[in-house]
Amino acid sequence: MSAAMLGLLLDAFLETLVMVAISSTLAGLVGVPLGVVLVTTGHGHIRENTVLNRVLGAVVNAGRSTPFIILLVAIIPFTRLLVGTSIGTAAAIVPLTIAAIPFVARLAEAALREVDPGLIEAAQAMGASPMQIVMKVLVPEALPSLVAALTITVVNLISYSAMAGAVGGGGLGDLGIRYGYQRFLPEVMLAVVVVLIVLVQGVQSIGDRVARRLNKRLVRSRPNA
Amino acid sequence: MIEIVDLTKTFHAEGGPVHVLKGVSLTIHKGEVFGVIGRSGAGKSTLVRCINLLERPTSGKVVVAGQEITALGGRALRQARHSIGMIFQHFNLLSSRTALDNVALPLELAGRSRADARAAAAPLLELVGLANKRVRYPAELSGGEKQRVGIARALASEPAVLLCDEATSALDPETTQSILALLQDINRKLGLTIVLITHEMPVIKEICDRVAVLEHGEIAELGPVFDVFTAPSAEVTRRFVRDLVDRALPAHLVERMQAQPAGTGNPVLRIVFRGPSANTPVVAEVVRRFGILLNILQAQVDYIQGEPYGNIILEAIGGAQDVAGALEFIRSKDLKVEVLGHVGGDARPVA
Repeated sequence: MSAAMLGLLLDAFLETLVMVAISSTLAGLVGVPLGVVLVTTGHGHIRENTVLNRVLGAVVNAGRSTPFIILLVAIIPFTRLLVGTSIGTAAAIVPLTIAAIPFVARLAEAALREVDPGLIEAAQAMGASPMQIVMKVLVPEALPSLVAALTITVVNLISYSAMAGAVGGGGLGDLGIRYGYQRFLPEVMLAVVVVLIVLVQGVQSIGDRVARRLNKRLVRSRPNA
Repeated sequence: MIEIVDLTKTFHAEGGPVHVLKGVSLTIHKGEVFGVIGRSGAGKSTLVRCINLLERPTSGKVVVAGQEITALGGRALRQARHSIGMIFQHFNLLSSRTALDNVALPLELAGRSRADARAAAAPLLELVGLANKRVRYPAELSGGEKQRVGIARALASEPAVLLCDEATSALDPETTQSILALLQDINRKLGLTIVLITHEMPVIKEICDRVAVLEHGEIAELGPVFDVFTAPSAEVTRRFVRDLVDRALPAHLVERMQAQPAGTGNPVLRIVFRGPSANTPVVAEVVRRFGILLNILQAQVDYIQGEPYGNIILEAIGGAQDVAGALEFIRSKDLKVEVLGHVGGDARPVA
């Protein structure tokens, strides 16, 4: 592979990193609170609100059932409104984020739901407010699962970002399609796939390690403190 | 300290309404250890959860330290809950926090900074004997240690009342003993009022001053533990104390026993010792005075709240006159004695 090709590969790699990093951060910042709302407004929970819960659930489901490639083109006007253009890396971040939010929300909901109801009850008995229960009990107790959920999201976004080429978003997927497939350069295709595999492996193992470190439910041997 | 007035709780299940509490009224005094015993489904857990309003009663009133809890909501209720500590069967410790940080949690919830809360939590861990486990996570602690952390956590906000919801039911007997000893210690040292829910008779016997026996959402019996246990009036209480103070007669004895004396039969007596009378050597005295033989068929002495309670089943061998005199004498010593029946003089175990 030529030096020019390597340069292209590096650029594409960085574009992918930027797209995925920004969109997963934004999706986490919106999706996790949404997950909190989905759980706490559920039946018998600390802020039961059936109407809000149903409406939010329906919106989230709608978001999740729209194929990403359709979402990508369907929200082009919105993207243009938001970032001023519908082409490029910045433009790709908008649909990536929007696609990931409901995904994160559902995963976060599942993670938060796993928190032992006894802990919520104990906090209530201590006089905790609903907000304190969320911040001091629900989120810290679900943190290992939330990290695992975010890891899955990042891996998914890496894969989704390959489709961002459709709006000129760049990135590894785009490079693979344009050079590897359309210009019939199998070595570029191979390089792209290898880089993606290494990237996903890296993200997954970092995520696993962080989640494991945060999980205090398992007894592990340690020096006497 | 705690006044519960005509409390009812009805759950609406699919099969129709379930009346879990049907008008429970009781008063718990300041500084006492009050037990509520009942079988599962009796409503005891619901009752204790109504005291801090984890469960809102359908009707009735709960007053804690002069404040009507049932009239509160929102912020005022949360404030009131700071003075009602609670411990649970499954401890309910945060797995993500160390022992020290678990104890600090109620203080953080009350608005204190983490450093400040930790500083205040440390002596509490010491009080429950876990000073060396501060930085351990719950997963690294034994059941008894977890409950000790739970107790320290409940004490952190300096409550006037401690509610214990089956707090020892998940622990082995030995650990249960040590947790009960700790609760008693706290009760004495801090003057804390303790309400203890359990289905285990030994727990009540060990540390409670008074006990309420709950059945089908109603109080079947209420009074000082010693009285309720040694002279149970309700059927449910009798079932609870059977093993403890009122053990069944051995089968071979029941088989041979007849209501009326037949031929050479001897009367079978039950003498019940209560309190100070348990310390008098009555049996020996009867033997000496009346010249009758007493064959011990079954005997046990138990201690309830430190007071002895004994139960002896005897076969009295001797003349009818002498036996009658002996009964008279025993009664004069303020002991309860009854003739359970008569057994034939053949093939009896002799002690």
